[in-house]
Amino acid sequence: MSIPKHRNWMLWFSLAALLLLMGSPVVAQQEVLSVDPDLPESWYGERPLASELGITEFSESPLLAERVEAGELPPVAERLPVDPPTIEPLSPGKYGGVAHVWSSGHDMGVDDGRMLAGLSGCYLLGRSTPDGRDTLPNLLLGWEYSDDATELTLFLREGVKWSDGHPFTTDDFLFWWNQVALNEDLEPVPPEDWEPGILEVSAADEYTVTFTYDRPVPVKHLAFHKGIGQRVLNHPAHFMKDYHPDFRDLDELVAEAEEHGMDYWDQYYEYMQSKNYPERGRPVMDPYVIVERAPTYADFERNPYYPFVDDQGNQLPYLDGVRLNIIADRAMKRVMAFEGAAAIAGPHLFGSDIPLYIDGEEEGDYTTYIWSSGKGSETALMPNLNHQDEAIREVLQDVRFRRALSVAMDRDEINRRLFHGMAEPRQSSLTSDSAYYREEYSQAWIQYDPELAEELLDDMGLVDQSGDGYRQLPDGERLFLEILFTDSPATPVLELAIEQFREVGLDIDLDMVSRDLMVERRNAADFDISEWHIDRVTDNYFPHDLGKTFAPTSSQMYSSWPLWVSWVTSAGRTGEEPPDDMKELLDWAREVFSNPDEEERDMYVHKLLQAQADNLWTIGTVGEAPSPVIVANNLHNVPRHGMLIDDVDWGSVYFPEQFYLDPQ
Amino acid sequence: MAVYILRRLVYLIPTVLLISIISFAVINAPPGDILSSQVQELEQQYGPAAQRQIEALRTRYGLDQPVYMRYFPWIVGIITRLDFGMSFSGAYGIEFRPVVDILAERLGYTVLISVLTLGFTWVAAIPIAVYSAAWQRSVFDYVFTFIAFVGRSMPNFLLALLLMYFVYTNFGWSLGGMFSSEYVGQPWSWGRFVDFLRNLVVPVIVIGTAGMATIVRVLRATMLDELGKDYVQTARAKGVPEWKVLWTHPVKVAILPIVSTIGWMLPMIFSGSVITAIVLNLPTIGLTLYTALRAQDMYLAGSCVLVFSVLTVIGTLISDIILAKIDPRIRYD
Repeated sequence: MSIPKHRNWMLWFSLAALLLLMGSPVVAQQEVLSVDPDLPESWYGERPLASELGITEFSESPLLAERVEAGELPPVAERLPVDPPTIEPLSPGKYGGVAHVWSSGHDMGVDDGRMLAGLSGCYLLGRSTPDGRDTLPNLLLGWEYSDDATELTLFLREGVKWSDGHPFTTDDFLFWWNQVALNEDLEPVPPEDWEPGILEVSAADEYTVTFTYDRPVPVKHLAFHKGIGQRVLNHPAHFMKDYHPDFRDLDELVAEAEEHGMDYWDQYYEYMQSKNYPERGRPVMDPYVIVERAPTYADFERNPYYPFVDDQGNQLPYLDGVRLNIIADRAMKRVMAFEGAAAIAGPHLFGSDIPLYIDGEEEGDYTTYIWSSGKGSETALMPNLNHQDEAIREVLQDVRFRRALSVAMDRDEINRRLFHGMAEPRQSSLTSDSAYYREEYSQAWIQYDPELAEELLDDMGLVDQSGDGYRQLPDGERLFLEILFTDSPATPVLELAIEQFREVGLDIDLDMVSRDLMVERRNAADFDISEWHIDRVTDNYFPHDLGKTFAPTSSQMYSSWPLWVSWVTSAGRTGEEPPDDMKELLDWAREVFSNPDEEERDMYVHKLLQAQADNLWTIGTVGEAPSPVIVANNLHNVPRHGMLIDDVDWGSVYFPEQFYLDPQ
Repeated sequence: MAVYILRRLVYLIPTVLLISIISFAVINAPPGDILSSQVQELEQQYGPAAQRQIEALRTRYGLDQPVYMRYFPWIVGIITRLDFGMSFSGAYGIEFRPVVDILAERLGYTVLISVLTLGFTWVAAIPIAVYSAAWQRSVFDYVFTFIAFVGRSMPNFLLALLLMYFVYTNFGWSLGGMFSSEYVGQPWSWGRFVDFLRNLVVPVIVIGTAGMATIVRVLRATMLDELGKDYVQTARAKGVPEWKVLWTHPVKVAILPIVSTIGWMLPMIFSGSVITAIVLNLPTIGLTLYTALRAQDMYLAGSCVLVFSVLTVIGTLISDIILAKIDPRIRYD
């Protein structure tokens, strides 16, 4: 990182000062709920078809009606699929309006854009229910497993179209698999490594596509919102064929690539495949299509072919467009939210600023909704179980040490001082909405008991031999540990935690480094303890993805066991071979992924959860913290409660298509 | 004179090349590359295979090549066909975009803000400095000196924040960006022009203040030097009016060191205002450099530095030419 760190600090500091200037804090007490209890029941079931609701006539935005009139577009009924799926709005919406959101350049479309506009393409094929417990067909009509769960058949809706009007068919699936996934230039890492087990993708007709696996894949459909679902939608076959050598002369294509300043066709393909530049014209399936791109903003307009209607037959989305204002630094997002410049803001706002946001409501003409962070722990400690120093490794691998760390922390104080008492003191485990949640997992070893901590440490032979107030290793060597982290909202939590560790005689300090260095050191297991939040612990991911804390199957750099993950994911080529107790975890994980028997699968899930609760591979602090969501008073149909996390694609499961603005 | 300029132009080439080599090396020195900032996104897409995907992408983008193998094709592309290479980092993660496009859409705003700032600095600074020197130790001298010191020592972005706050609370203007939201992306109109000027006031004041303070101090000191000299006494003795005494001779001499600052004033205004640009959300090249460095987008960062260094060199050349013109003591060989 070439920009001096302190500059950033100065910016942060003065922004905080600015917010303080603008309003003095009041004490806020609101309940943190991750699911709004008032959501319509239909959001938990399959999309009702228009015919089921008795809809025969469809209407559209006046803006589109004009274009139909002018002969630029076919009439709405022809643009919509045959018997379009419906979405029940929270309240009947009105057409019109452009909603403003603010996003820092790097996050653009990654959070705020998704939240308001569903711009990511996640949750299009299948969408998870608001509580995350189930994934339902969305753009798809449905899916079906063969009896042995080795074949998954997807049924497409007839007449769904890309934003340029071209039909979305099994062609798009076949193109993605045969021409993209299996193409070594485009996907240098074979699909076996990221979507394991696919033998063949075949299409019976235009609307029926079958994935054949070499093993049972009982929970594979979950992959259809993030994994395969998003990938397929990134490669509209009819458009991308023009840039693929299977359909073009290679020399000609390379020459074209060079004209655009690229060396080879794969770069050119990737260039054309980006949907974020209007001049490249790549069609999308999203509710909005980019129409202008400038250094400080991007304008999106409604997709005239978006295949969903509301329960009255009005084509969605309601909004005419979205403007993503691009700012240079996340910190400025908070100022913009406070000034009321955004229709909706949420990602990267701090829970600790809630009183300030509430204070600014009148001036900024917005309301502060309190959502849940959806995290098992906002800040979790990850003791390096692969430490290169043998003596330290022995200490960190000792469960007594990890338990001592856990009970040495006063989570209530952390909660009170940094989260206005609105978060939950927790161990790192699943969030309380999960179908697998049990209190014994989330409450394991979270009591504040410094005496127990001292006892456990004494027991390990870690006592203060030199009389300097800190414990030494049994052989008298200094025991000094550093927590590796990068500047983040975790900083104040860690500052409180190390104070509490020092009280039980542990010499632990903070080691704040730049993100790049952190990545490098984590992957190389060159740290004592690292810090990260515990996400992917809602049913949107779990147990399809075991995340960071339950078994060394993925997330190498955000775990306590980077070298074991490396060994597992590289099939033994790199990293270190895990010991037997870890291999047991891996066996359980394998059962969770592929055992077709649901009951047995659940048994292994609980074995993994219990193992984490006993062993504390990662140590949680507080979780399910309040996350402020700033909603302009003229924007409607945003749920009062929800989760603000990537698991739910930053809110795109809450049907942003049905958000609407008051008419001007 | 022509030979002098020509010779300077020839010297310019190796200087810029040398700068580009050094800066490219420095940009590539820190650990990691553009892909390491994308690890999280790639983990989401590729799960356990993310690390291997990163290595594969490194090969695709040529990031596994040694620094000199990345430098040479890049610099050759620039020299032969003005191709500054590809930027990898888009607003959405890894994205290809020609660096030229990014620079082009920002160059206009950057030059505009810079020229206005430079103008503001000079127009405000010179009279103040002359006044302070002529009426040394007067009340106004102290007031201006105080303001100059505050302007010099206060970080730009803090001043920007304070002014933003002041403007927001007193006028209700929210000053993020070059235009208010209702005018963004609209065709030019009178209202838009007024709005544009309004949004420019704060950045120009903020960026200009620091430079202004320096000029005031330097000019005041040299003026004081000159005012004590014999020729000034002579002029006064001859009964030349005081304003004429001041403006005809001492100012002309005292302005010389200021002229020689053009060289570094230009790039300072371009790049030194990064934090201000962040706070005020200005689409300048300085800001691009900052984000490019953070993302380790090497060709984009390298091109920004190259643009800055060319500007510095040209600025120095211009100031040298002006000095050669107005300062009779300078010789051409």
